[in-house]
Amino acid sequence: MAFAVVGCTVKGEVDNIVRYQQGDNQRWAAADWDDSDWGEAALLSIQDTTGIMWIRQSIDTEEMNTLGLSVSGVVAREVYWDGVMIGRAGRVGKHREAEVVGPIDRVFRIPDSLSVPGRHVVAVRISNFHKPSGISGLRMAIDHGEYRDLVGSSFNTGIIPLFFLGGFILIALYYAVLFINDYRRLPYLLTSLLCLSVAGLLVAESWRPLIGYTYNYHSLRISLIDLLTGIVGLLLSATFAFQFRIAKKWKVIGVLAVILCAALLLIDDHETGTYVAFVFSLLSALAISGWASWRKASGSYLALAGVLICLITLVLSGYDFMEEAFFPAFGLLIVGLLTSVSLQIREERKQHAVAVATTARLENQLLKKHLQPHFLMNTLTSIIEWVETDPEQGAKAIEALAAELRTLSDVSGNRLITMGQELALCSAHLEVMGYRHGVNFELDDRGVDKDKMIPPAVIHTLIENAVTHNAYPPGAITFTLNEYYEANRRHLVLETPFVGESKGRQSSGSGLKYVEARLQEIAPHEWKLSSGSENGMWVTHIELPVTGLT
Amino acid sequence: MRVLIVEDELVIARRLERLLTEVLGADIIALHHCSALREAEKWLSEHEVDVVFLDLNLNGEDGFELVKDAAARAFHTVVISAHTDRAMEAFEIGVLDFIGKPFGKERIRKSVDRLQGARASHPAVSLAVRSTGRIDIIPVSNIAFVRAAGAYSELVLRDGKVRVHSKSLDRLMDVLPARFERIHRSYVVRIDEIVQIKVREGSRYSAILASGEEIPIGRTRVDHVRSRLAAS
Repeated sequence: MAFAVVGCTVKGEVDNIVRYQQGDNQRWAAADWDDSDWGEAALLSIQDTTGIMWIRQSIDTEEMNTLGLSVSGVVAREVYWDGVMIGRAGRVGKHREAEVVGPIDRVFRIPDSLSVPGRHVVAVRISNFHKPSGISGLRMAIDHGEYRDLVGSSFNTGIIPLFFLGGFILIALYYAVLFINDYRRLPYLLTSLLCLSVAGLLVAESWRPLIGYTYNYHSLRISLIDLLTGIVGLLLSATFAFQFRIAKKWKVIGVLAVILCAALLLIDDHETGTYVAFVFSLLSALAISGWASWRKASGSYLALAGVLICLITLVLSGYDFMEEAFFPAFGLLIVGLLTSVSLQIREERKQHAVAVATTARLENQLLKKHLQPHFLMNTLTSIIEWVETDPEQGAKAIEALAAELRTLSDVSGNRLITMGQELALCSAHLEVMGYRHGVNFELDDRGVDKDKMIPPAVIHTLIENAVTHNAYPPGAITFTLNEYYEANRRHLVLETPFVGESKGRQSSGSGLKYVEARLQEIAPHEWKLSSGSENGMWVTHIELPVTGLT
Repeated sequence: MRVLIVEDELVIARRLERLLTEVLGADIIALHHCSALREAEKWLSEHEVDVVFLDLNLNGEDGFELVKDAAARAFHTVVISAHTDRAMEAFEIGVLDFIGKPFGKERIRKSVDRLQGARASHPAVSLAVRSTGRIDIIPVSNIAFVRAAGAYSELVLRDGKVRVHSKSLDRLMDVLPARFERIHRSYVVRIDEIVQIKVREGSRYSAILASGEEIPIGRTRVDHVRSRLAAS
């Protein structure tokens, strides 16, 4: 029953049955004072007092070593052992001004002359004018034992969580730095804040046994613990929710926030309140990581295992959770979470590497297409013919080829280029092919916005396909490119005349695969490409999302 | 010489025509250009040609099936292609020559030389043979000897089967490896198939093959055959 109630650090206070009497009489300290007409109750059930009160308790001890008496409480107190005052915490006063607040915990050493086995009487004179609001009843605990043990136990209670403090702070700093370097990754920030809150909870928990405070600050610390418990619970679920990208994360976090507030504010007993809050926090984290594991999100199994360990520890250790098992178990949970974060980062890096490789492969493919013998060698053969028969024509063809290759090397490394650049590439290609085939190719691009973006050589590849697969007779051949918007989608329609056998052949081949790969690269699974013949024209239809391309 | 050019690139076809005219000069009997396959088929069904200059990539398609078909025909095939990496493949199926793009006049002259007597620079490894509705590929190593059959040839395989090839014995000789020897006006034999040379009455000679078959040897060729046998 550690951290909630005052006097929590010692065993046995539940059956701390005492005699109590309102008022003040120095003789009440005496061991042989008859207190049989005093009230009798368990310490914690004594209702609030005004002014000075005395509490008496008989203690049987077999202790042979130096005895100690631990008297904790939200009170100023003077402690008597068999009528002898053995110390005080603060100064008991008749009114607020006269009272001096004392430390909430204190262990009193009993003089060796009085440390003998047998029955003793403890009398405590108390006042609590500085009791903070929000605490009702007498919050006090009395315990006895070997002096050394009593002093050591509070140190032991406080020191174990501190082992973890440094770890949590380091992780918090580390993830804060990671977030600063990559501010888009919200789970970094959330993890950092989570570790920081846990560190805060650690400090709030350990403050009392290690450093202590005067009793008037007691409810402040309790509220701080409540607040941090709520924050830790929310951050845990939020981190998981963002980490595993669950749907409706804000709704989940909102519902959890309501539950945690209710548990922490409405449940009167502070210890029960925090326990319930933790149960719900972990259940929420369990649900999220369970869902993520079911969806096979990378690293989610580790997070799920961490939460499960934490939850099992919570259930097994009951109210002692915070004291004994919370921080080690939570440490494991954080390790699970961090591992899953790093696994996910590795996964993303891998995907990024694949994307980079795809872009490089497409660029390579595009450039290779123009170094391909079919295009280059045929063009060069034609050029040699002109050099020998019609040098003027040869010069024009070389210029057009140079223009095409230049534009190509300008744009091939980009994922997106302007439609203007794309059209320049197309007309250079049409000029080269026109010379080669003796056809006067035209591209009617009046219906197109030249400033809009498009992946490089997409229209170019479609045009190239048409020119290659159709045996266009000498004369004028016109291609038409149109653009329109419908239902928030961008449509590009290319019409190319087709000749004879070419039908169908255009709808296959490596050219179309290139176009598909380019569209997939800039608008994954959001593009459409279809083609077919309409009124003597081969029509290729590209559909793209409106956003994300500029 | 009757020439057909099958090439979809107008300027390149024109170049071929021009260079062939310059090289062959008066030897040209007919020179025709088709830019599409169907057109070429029609022409071939109506005209006899000696050689077809065939573009391997008509309208961007891989025309290798077409090359096989051409190699099985009576005329010689010279493949024209930008894809020089396909040259060996084409030679192995029995084309007479493979001209890489771009090409100049000298290259065309060399090809014409081959047409006018010289053997292919790379002999065939297989022969494409037209069968009903399909093209069969017969490995040259399976052929024991070839017999003239009018305008056609009969390939006699080592297992005794006989396949008819559309090319004349003369044209087949142009693409067959050097180990095939013309031992008679009507016979081409694989030299290592000959086990024995027999002298018959009236100083007629004949070769006994591994299969036991007896094939006449032309009187003027017997010395040459003997020296080749001795060398092998």
